[in-house]
Amino acid sequence: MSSCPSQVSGQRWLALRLTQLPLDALGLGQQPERLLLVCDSRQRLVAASAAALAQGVQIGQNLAQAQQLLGGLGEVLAQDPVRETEALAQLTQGLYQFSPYVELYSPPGFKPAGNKPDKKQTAPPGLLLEVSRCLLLFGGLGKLSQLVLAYLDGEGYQVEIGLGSSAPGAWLLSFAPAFMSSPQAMSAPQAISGEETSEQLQARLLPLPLSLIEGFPRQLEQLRQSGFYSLGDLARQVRGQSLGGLTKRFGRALSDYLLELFGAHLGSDSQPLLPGLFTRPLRQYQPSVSFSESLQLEFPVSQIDQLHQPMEWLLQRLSQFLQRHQWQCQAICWQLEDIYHQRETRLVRADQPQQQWQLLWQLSCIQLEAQPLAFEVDSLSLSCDQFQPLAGASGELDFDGRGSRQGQRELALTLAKLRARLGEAAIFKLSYSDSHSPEQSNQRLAPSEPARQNLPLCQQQALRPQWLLEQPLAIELRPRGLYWQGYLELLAGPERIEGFWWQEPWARDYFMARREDQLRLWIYQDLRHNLWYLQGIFA
Amino acid sequence: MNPSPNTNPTLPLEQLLQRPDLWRGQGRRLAPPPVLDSGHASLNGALLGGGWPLGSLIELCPATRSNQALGLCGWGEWQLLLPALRQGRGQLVLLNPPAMPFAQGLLQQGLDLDRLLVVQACDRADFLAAFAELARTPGCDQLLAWQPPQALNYTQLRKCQLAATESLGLRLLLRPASALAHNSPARLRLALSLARQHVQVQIHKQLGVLGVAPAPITLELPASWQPLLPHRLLDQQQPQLPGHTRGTSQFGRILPLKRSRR
Repeated sequence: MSSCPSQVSGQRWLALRLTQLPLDALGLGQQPERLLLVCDSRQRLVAASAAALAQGVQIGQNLAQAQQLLGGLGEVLAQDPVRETEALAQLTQGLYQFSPYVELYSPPGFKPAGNKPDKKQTAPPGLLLEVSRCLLLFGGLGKLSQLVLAYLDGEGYQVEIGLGSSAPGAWLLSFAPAFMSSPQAMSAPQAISGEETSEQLQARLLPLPLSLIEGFPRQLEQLRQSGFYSLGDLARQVRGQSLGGLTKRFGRALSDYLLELFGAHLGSDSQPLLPGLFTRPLRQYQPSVSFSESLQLEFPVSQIDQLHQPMEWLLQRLSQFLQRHQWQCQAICWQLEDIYHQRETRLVRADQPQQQWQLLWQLSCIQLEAQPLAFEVDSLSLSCDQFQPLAGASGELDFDGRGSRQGQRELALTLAKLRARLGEAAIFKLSYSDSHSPEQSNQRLAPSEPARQNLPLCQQQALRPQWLLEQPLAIELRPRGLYWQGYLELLAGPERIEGFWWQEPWARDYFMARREDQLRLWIYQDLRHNLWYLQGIFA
Repeated sequence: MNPSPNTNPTLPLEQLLQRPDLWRGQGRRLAPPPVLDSGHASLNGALLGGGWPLGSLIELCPATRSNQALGLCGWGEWQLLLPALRQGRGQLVLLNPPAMPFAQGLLQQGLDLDRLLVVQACDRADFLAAFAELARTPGCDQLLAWQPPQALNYTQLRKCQLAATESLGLRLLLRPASALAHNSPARLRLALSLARQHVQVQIHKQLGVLGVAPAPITLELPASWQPLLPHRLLDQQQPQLPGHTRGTSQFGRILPLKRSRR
């Protein structure tokens, strides 16, 4: 009886080596017919298109040599390390859908922290996935590897895949297809079937050359001079002798690496190794809580309507991101940049949290149209770092459509247009705030914030007007009585309100007064200064 | 040969007569628009359809003493409108209010502050743009707009009226009583004045009703707005309201204190 393909013993690592990352990160990986050359700051080739490679161009070559091979027809592009880093982060986030254990490949001895920024140390681009815990979900290793490859292909990245029972093993096996033709690689791996046992995977490592190991150049040179050429030579030596001898001669780092690479298979029958006791714990990938993507425009844009389509594309990406995480967002940030790296930031806010892109797009268009562009836009970035979990939407049945979601959306668009015309401060909501002072209890809020409405009992029973003057107006005290655009007559009161003893204490006696034309006013006497003021109007 | 565009001369007239906003001038032949209960039985009785007409411009013109911004508030507008405003479910927008609405006072009257939105647009062009945008939006259920300091002319009011017809909400425009001297395309125009114990509402114009102006409607002011009785009258069975008979002499007056020189 055959075992279930979704169950394997031990770890299973997929190594994804991005062979053309410098080209793919620039968004040009899908154009193999063009003669594209990507070179670094030292004019050394880091990537080339398939057409260029077919003409004999090699990675690592000098740019002049490559151009000579192409008859000067190669299109030269500068490597963009920032975009490569962004692309790797984006892929890591995308691969999180297949496994929670995703990490960037880093060779042994590589220190990603920039302690010495002057020393340019770059890791070869790649990603590692531990998938042994996700096989049941995806129907086995074979199907999972196909899904991963299809995802990377869809994103426009060229990749070499390797399967191993350890992370470094999988990485080295991603080079195996290149040695298919060599006599050393007689048992080179075939396509991933999902039936591979740990022993088979270890056996596939043996024919690979030692030169594939990164991080130990001095030790490898010494090994080569001693007659070790393949991993198999080294494994045989360890099994025959012991790991201790190798450690003594070549250092602890190399033997640790070999231990991780081969695991228990490195031990001999007389001296079994127990690497499982001290295996590196798997680190679960923590997805980024911010979204940031940018788009390079084909030509500098000076009109807003030419930005509509790129904005739509970026917002669709954001919407996909939000749907993947079951999140929604309320504010997004656009960054416009010109070719001289002049930047402008525009913040767009919706009244209700959004997961779909349409409303955010319309709000962005309105806001951008309100202020003309200060320069010709060359690249456009969208970022968002404030998210909230998608709340289950519930509402009252609404048959006439006035309070419906469509109605809310139209209202949000109208308010965005008004905000663009009148300014942010011209549109607000009111809320009660717990304070003795009437003016401080009346609080302005953004339309998206919920208002506080629980009025204390004492305030519920007190006499309160419906209009409040932001600045109290002075009332004259004439010999006949109080006067404000007419003589006033007190109808009700006083209500003593005092407070702020910890700052500047004040005390006021509030009255309802009636003017000659029957207008009811809310006035107070400032007891400290013996002055009268008008603060509200009953309506 | 091209046919004449108007082969049947009666057709355009019939099409015109189908329009709900055509005033045919003889009695109540106009198709009544949907209405919102005003919450005042006497007012409902006087209004065509029995309430505030929806999807059309309504002008409220209070008699004010001053032409300043504050002159347009305090004539009992919330007392008149709150019963209708409380019925709404969508957004209630106050456009260009003359003062700041007081959260405590509105909460006492049972208004949901989450529905209330204030939009400030003092400039006439901004006001008109904001009115048109808001009046067209179905999500804006009720709109109360206060005319900016610069008066609106007939064309501008017509724009407001047309925008109001585009959605089925309550659209109210508050203007000073002096505006009643000029024509307006509003469907309903009310003159309002504040008396000692009531608000007086006079229908100045109502589309679909032709004839003599009906008698003014009076809406009682809340009891809390009436003066407190003097202490010596509190234990009497049926106190006579002093304001009616003896003027204001029984109420306290605030006079400057005469301080004696030491």
